[in-house]
Amino acid sequence: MIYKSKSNFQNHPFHLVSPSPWPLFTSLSLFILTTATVLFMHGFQGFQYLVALAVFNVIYVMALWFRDVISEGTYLGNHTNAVQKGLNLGVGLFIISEVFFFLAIFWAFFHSAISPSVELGAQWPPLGIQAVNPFELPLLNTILLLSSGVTITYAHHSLIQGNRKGALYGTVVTIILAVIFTFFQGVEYSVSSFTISDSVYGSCFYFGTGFHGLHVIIGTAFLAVGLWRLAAYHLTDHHHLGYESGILYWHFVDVVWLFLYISVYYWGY
Amino acid sequence: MGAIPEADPDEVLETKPFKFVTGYDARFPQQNQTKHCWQNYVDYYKCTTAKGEDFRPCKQFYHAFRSLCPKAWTDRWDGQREAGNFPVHLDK
Amino acid sequence: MFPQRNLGRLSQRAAQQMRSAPVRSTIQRRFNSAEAKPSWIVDNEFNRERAAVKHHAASTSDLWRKLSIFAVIPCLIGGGLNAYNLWSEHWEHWEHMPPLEERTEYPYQNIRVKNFPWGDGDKTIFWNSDVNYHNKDKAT
Repeated sequence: MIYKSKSNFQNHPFHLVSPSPWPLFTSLSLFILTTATVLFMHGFQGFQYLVALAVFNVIYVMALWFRDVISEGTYLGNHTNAVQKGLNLGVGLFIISEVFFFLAIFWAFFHSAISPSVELGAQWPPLGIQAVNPFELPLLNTILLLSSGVTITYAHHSLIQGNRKGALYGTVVTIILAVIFTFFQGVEYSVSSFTISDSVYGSCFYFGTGFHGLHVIIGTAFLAVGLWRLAAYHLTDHHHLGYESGILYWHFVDVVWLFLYISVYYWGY
Repeated sequence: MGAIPEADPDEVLETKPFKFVTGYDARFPQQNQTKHCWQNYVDYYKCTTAKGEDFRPCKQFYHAFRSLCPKAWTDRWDGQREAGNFPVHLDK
Repeated sequence: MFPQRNLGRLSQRAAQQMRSAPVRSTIQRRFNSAEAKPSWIVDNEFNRERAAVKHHAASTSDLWRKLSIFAVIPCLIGGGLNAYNLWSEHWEHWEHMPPLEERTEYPYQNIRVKNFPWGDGDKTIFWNSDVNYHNKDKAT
């Protein structure tokens, strides 16, 4: 092989990424977001507009970055088996970091709830706080999330089997169940007789369920991107790492809910 | 803490130096005695609500919380009881 | 099944794999195979595993399809009815409680250190005046 044609081949399976503006842009957007949020919370006038702009910017830059990753993986063939292994490892480590994030929240909850302080009358929930009945909407929400786990498994196995229709239907039903869950959490929040400012009970309750809700919304977006790529013929029966990562993330969110349901809703009732 | 003896009406009252009257309580084995203080405060007012202020056995709770609790705490709780938002039902 | 432009590449790949696998077995398989299996799929561990995964998915996806229909739907209906009943009971009970202004507000409720940077500065984000009340003259 002459030198010229030899240089057109790479003798390793790894993806050497090309220069990209998105890491820098993401950092800048996140920096503006944190700064604007801190100033907003300290009463600086008009900063809510900068917060909104920064949130939009973060999401926009992420979309552009993910667009590039999708091009590299789907159209440029950069995601070889070796690269997929690395991406999978990255997703796994990310989810482990999320586990520890929620571990900290649960720690705060148990610290306050296992031995309630004398300021609360040493009881949990304290007097005057009417806790949410765990067998009402929270039980329905548990069923909704477990059901979404079933339907997404159907979609995943259908995709591997090569059944496009099954994969599409399964994902659509999963996203519908996820949206219903978020809707019912919104209902629960708006009819709850206690707020985030009602003792450490309210703080821990909204700290845990609020961040879980945020993760549900992110997971729904993750699955929705998977659905779009499924519909756009990006995914094959053996190459659908983004979709599988979305499913893994969704299961993680589901498991966090089970822990929240058992400890915050049921045990703390 | 042994049983508190009946008061002798002929006994001359005399002011004594402060004495720590609370012994070890197995429910509160930790160094932090916050809840020991709290429990005796609650028990004293539950006791007097149920049995009346003159019921002498209530006094052991009184002595215990008086010697365990910082005054600022009991002042705050007294205020809450007066305002009706002390966070424990003392009549139940 | 395959766009015209791919054919060149496919034949190239088939030729490559013929070189690595014994030529005779490849040809034999091409003539003997009853299924319409593309000729370039050689019989190696990678392809065998991939085929096994696909075969396995066919039976498991059927199980999950049945669960999605015959387990999920009844559970959702049951959970929905139960939630609806308890929801009605809850508001029935709520109506018999004293009005918000007359309920005891304990010292740890409605903690305000400074104004919220929105609205009138006193209402939390999910504030609902039908169920939330802040007594500003609260003692202690």
